[in-house]
Parts: sequence; C-alpha cells; structure tokens
Amino acid sequence: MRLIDFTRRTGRAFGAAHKVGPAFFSLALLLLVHVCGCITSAGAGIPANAFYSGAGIPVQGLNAYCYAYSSGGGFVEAYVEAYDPRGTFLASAYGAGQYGAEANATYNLTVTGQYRCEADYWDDDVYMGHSAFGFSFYLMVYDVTLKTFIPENNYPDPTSGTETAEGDDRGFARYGSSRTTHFMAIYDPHAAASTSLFADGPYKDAAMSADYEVATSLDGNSRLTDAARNDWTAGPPLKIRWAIGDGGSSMYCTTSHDSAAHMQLQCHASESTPLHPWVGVLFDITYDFNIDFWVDWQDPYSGTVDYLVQGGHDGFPNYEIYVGNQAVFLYDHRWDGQNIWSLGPPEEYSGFFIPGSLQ
Amino acid sequence: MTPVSILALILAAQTVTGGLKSANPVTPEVKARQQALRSAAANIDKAGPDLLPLIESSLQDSDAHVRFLAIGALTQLNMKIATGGGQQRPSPSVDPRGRASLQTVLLQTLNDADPRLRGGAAKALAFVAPPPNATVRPALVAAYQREREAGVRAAILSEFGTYSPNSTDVQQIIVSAITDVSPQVRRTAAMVVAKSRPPAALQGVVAELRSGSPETRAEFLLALSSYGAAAKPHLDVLETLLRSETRPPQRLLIQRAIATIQGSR
Repeated sequence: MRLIDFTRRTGRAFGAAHKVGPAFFSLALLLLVHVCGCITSAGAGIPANAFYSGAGIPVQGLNAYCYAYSSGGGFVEAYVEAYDPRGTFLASAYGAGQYGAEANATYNLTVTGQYRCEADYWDDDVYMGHSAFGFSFYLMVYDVTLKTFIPENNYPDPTSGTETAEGDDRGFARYGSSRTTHFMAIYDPHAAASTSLFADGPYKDAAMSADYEVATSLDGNSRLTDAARNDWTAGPPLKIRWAIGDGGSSMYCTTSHDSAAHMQLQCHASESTPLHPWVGVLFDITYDFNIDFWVDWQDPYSGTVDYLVQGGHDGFPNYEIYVGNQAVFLYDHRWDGQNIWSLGPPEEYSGFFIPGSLQ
Repeated sequence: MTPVSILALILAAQTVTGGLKSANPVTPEVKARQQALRSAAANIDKAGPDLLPLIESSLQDSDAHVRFLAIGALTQLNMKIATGGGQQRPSPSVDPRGRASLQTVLLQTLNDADPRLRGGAAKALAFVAPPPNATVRPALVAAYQREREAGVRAAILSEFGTYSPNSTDVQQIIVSAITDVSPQVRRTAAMVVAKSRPPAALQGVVAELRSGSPETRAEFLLALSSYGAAAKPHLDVLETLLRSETRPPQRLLIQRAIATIQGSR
C-alpha cells in the first residue's frame, strides 16, 4: 500500500517470470536476436573472450551462447545454442531444475570437448556459468537494494508543532518499508558488449507520506494508533493528509565498467516529500552512492567479489544498501544526532569509504 | 571449532615455520586464510574474542587480498557497532575501540599499496582511536599529504571534521583541500569548514563560490554561512550568484545563505 516492494522480485530477474515451456523459448529467441545483432555490427564475429548479454564464446570456430534463468517458484533453467561462424544455427540444448539443484544444458561441440551451460539457484542470486574444454567462466547477477527509511514510529513535523509524520518503525532490514527504494539486478562485467549492466531494473519508488494530528493520533507510548492509521478522511482529527510520491522522478542509477573484472554502480536521488511542495524544495532525501565491484575470475567458483562503497548522503533519514541479502552500507541518523532538518542539500555525509567482500 | 579458530591455528603454524611470507599468492594456505576471513565477516554478529587478533594478524599478511578481506571485516564490524548492528548487535567483546595494538597495525596500513586498504584504515583509525589522539592525528595528516587517490583523500578529510579540527596541521590541510583538483574532495572540505570555520579558509570558500562551480555550490554555501558575520563582506558574491540563478531550488539555497549571514552578529 505505501510502496511497491520491488525487492520481492529478487532473484526472478531476466524479464518476465516464466515456467518451462513455449514462453521460455520465445524469450530466448528474442535474446538471440539481440545477440546476433551485436555480432553483425561487430562485423568480424565475437572477439576472443568477449561476452555478450547471454554470453557467447567462440570455440573451435563455433559460437555458443548460454542463457540462464531463475523463473520463480524455485525453478532454474539453462539453455545453450551453437552457431557456425556465419551465424547458422547448429543445435541447442535445454535443462531445468528445482531449487537446490542445478540446471545444465550441454552441447557437444566437437569430439574433443563440449559446451556446458549451467544455472544454479543460490540464495536469491542467479549464477550462470558456461564452460568449454575445462575453461570456465561464470556470469553472475547481483541484486542491489538501496533504501531510505525513518526508523521511528512517527516523527514530529518540523513545520508544525501539532502534527507528526508517519515513520517506517523498523530497524535495518532488506525487505522493510521505506521512504525511497532503488532496486536492480546487475550483471558482472563480463557482459562487456553492453553499455548497461542492468539485468533487471533499475526500479525506483518513493513511498506515501502521511501527517497526523498529535493530539488525537498517538497512544500512551507516543505511537500511532490503528484508528489513526486507518482514517482516510482528510483533515483532523487523526490522519490529516497523505500523498503518494512522484515515483522517484529524481532517482536514477547507471553502470559502467572498464574491464571484465571491474564495474561501478552509481545511484542518485534528490526526492522531495510529496506533502510540503514548497518546503519540499529543500526537504528532500538526497544521496549519491558509488559502488565499485571487483570480480576475481581466477577462482569463479568461490565467487570472490570485492566492493567499495563511497559517496555522500543527507544526515536524515536512515540509509541501507544490500547486495543480495548482505548489508554493505548502513547508516542510522540517530548515531550522530541528525534530524529531519538534515534533509536537503548539501549532503551532510561525504567521504565515507566502505570496503568489503561479498559472502 | 569456528572458522576463526581454524585460521588462528593456520597462522600460528605458518609463523612457526616461517611460511607466512610465501611467494605464491594463491597457495591453499592463502586460500584458507581468505576463506576464513570471509566467514568471519559473514558471522560478525556471532564473533568472539578471537576476531580482533585475527584481523590484526591478517592486516599484516603478505597476501594483498587477505589484507583487503581483513579491512573489510573490520569495516563491517565498525559499521555494525556504530549503527546498532542491524538485526543483531555484535558482542561487546569484539568492540575494537581503544585497542592499542589494532591502532598500531592500522597506522602501518596507511602505507599499503592498495588505496582501498589505505582509505579503509583511515576510517577504521578514526573509529578505533578516541579523538583527540596525539599519535593518530599527525599520521592521518601525513597520509593525506602523500595520498594520490581522491577518494582516499576525501575519506581522511571527512574525519578531520570531528578529529582535532582546530589544530594547526589539520587547518592547513583543510585550507589546501578547498582548492583540491577533485570536486569530491572540495565538497568534503567545505563540510569540514562548516563545522570548524578556520579563518584561513574563508577566502578559499569565497573563491570557489565565485567560480560558479555548480557541483560544489550547496556545500560551499553552507560553509560560507557558517562564518556568520565574518562572511558579510562577501555577500556580494552570493547576490551575484542569485542574479544569475534561475532554478528555484538553487535560488532558495542561495537566499537561505544570504539570510543566515545577514542575520548573524
């Protein structure tokens, strides 16, 4: 009700969710058209060790492509196709599995080797891999969630001594409600032919805001009562006004990469509160996050991925960033005594520097 | 036996045999140390008193990635302590604040070849060492002066806002940072100025605003406002900016700065 929780689509990336069947092959065909377009524009086929959306690798004069999907409900699917150097379709293979298992699709390229496409369902992330002649690469997809939230049950409105704004009433939690949400799934930098590394999204959202009359809306513990929350008649008593955000018009994310081992995700927001248009010119949630990822391809099976979070953000409200289920950045406005007056430019916090490694 | 305990045994065995300085960076022993640190970072909430010794020894490891994983684990630990730990708070037994031996190791890490370690060490030092600290402050000043990575300079600089901002050496850093080539560093410097208001930085703040740079304006407006009455001779700079600015949010920022300075005594 108060926001669309995009994170519930976690791990069901790669377009529409689909079960095994014709719909799956239709999507695969669409992706192939895209990939083949890349090949044509390149003129001379896929260069060695270059990877495209869906992944392709030339093996003894053949081009093979791997597509891996997590189709929801715990199903994983893998699909491999092979083409000759002129782009003529040779053969395909398909495999599917359930949660906890692997989906493998194997195509024997020559008498000396095979091309194997593999999809594993693992902790909300889809791991795609393809290998040939024992030379393995893994393509990984990372779910990234950036949220801001007010940890208090309600927060006194700075423009009125008699009103209070609804908070999210929670601690740090990937799936909790929020003021703003950025969610996306990003490829690892092996998808080097694409200018964007987004596998899904980026989605953005700004939640509903609501103001309440202090005198009639709070219980003995200064928490909003159910009666106040369920009051949808504008004006006092109880809930006075509410408004849905503009959907995150000021929010955007971009990706970049300078090698197959390093990529950067940049996300920005300067999202105004929908309830106070004039005051809202300054009362907006502002952040600029830059997240670098380094992938160690020497040992892809161990999934070694380092990260570094930098950037700046307002002193209010709370900020949290998750990659998969792992918290890589947490900020609590109460730690440094920041309050709602810290909304708006400039960003009170800059120069933070959070290195770490994905688990 | 926890992963941390296993790694402690490996480290002890290697120290005895002198194997810690192995030339091969991807030996099974190195992989084991890396994996144990990853496990430690993933289980910060359940970590015991052997975590901090592990981080200290790993920060001195010959393998660069072990050192990186160690600073990552320490950063994760500090972040969880600072923010209340999310869903679970780390045990008080792993609180690194005031731990002298860790400070010593982090001071050495300020010289690491990897800028990610240098920046992480600077932030960890500021968290671990209670300000003011006569040893840490000059070390951070020196680290800032020799640092070539803008992100690391900004990371160090941001700590000077609360870390002895009135000492002469720190003020010199702040003044020079206002004219840094990186807007990221200049923005951070402006926020430090807004907290500490060093007189020597005022002219630099005015010069940045006069340059009209939009990417640093919000921070430098706040910095100039923080000087209060001392900034009144420079109101003309803000009025010039206001005349040329058409965007309502930016105009409001400038107007707010003018009002703050005019209302100061």
